[in-house]
Amino acid sequence: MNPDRQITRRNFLSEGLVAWLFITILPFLYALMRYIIPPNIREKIVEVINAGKYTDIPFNSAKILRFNKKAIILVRTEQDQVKAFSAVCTHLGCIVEFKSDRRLFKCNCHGSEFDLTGKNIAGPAPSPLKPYRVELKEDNVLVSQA
Amino acid sequence: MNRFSLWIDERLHIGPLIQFLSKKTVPRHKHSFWYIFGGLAFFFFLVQLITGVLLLLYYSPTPETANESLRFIVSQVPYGWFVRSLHSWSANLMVAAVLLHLFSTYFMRAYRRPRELMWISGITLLLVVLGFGFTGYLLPWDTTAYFATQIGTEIPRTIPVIGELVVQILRGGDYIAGESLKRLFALHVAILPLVSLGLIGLHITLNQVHGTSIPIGVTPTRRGIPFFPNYLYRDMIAWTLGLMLLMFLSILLPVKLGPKVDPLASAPPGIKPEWYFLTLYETLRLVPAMILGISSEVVVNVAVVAVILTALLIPFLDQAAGAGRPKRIFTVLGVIGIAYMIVAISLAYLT
Repeated sequence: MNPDRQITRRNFLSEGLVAWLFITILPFLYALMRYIIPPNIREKIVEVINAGKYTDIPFNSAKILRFNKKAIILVRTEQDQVKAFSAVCTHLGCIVEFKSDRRLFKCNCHGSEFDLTGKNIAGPAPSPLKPYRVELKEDNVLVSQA
Repeated sequence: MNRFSLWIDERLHIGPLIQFLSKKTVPRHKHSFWYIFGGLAFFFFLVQLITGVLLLLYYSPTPETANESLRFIVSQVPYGWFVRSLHSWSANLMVAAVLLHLFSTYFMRAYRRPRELMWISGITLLLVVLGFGFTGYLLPWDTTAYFATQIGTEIPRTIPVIGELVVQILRGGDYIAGESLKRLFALHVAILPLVSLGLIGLHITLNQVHGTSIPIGVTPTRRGIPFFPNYLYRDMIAWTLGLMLLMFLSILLPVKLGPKVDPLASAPPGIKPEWYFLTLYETLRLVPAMILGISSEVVVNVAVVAVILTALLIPFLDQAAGAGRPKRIFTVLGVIGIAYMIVAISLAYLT
């Protein structure tokens, strides 16, 4: 600040007015910002889901289902193993597709590919698909967090 | 003046405005053809406003009704298919006109002092126009729209500190769902139109203040064309040609409506965004997963921000143009930009 500058009644009032406006606007801005950010609603978390009958999934095919709002892909391999992975491509979040002829998961958005262990093997995906734990209880497939 | 004109003038004082517009001239030289695209972009924007309001009469922005309401528009409402096609095709033509206007003003160095703010408002308008395209894309609530929005709203996640928050704000939650549809709808029909009207007002006002730029080294051959009414007639001819092209495309190639979103369906093969996002799409596809230990999304994000900032700052980077000395490097940069867009778009269509 210029030390020679004199404080007159006019500039004291005008600067005071600016400060006052700033102080009154801040709570509005805060409230508006909080309004725009969606509320964090806690939803019931399920530990295990029943993905249906094991025999309902043909060999070398897959099905997609929900696990706590997340899409997961359940695949029955030719060796009669059932595996579950996150169906969300680790690149930009599209849902992957199981390619039975090539025995891999492919994301059709940007061409990323993942093998049957979930590992990213081609395309721009930076990391593997997240695995889920699969248990067979009688004929039912139970899926839970790995 | 007849009695009606006198009555109007007495109340609105438009006489000085008409006098100003008839004194204003548009330069006439070998490149003046390119001036037409700014007006044409504005024309397509007006078509967007009118057809957008018409679509609002029947469209309903909820996940349960969005796709059905559009299906109702295109199958039951008289000429509904036509209005929807006009809206979609004029969006494409508007982006094309904006890009032609942008590159022509760039190569003519129209951004140079004192028109820096015209350039900045123009680049911001381009971003707003792309924002219209992006936000409008989800509204049909079909499979392609769903995944395009998933990708588009996922990209900001890699922004340091605020990335997660930006994704949440855009989607209205963690996932693309009803909240996302409502938010993008609000952006598309309320926020972006208000912003664009303000920006267009500023852009046109600055054009009146500074007049039309003449490229460096070009000497107008003849006296300029009076803006009112002569140049306005030329604009009208361009607008009617634009309208004919729009009608032609809308009637012969009506826009299709895809199946309703199924959040548990895989992204269909061959899924691609609109042509004006294909440069970004192809870049995201071609960049390897990791570059020097940095993920591809971060690299592409940084590149996009760098391109936008460079575009905004062009008038300040190319100060020599303001002094009447155009530098070849900026022409080369523009040509590289166009060549990259053409190659990326071609690759996206061919592969």
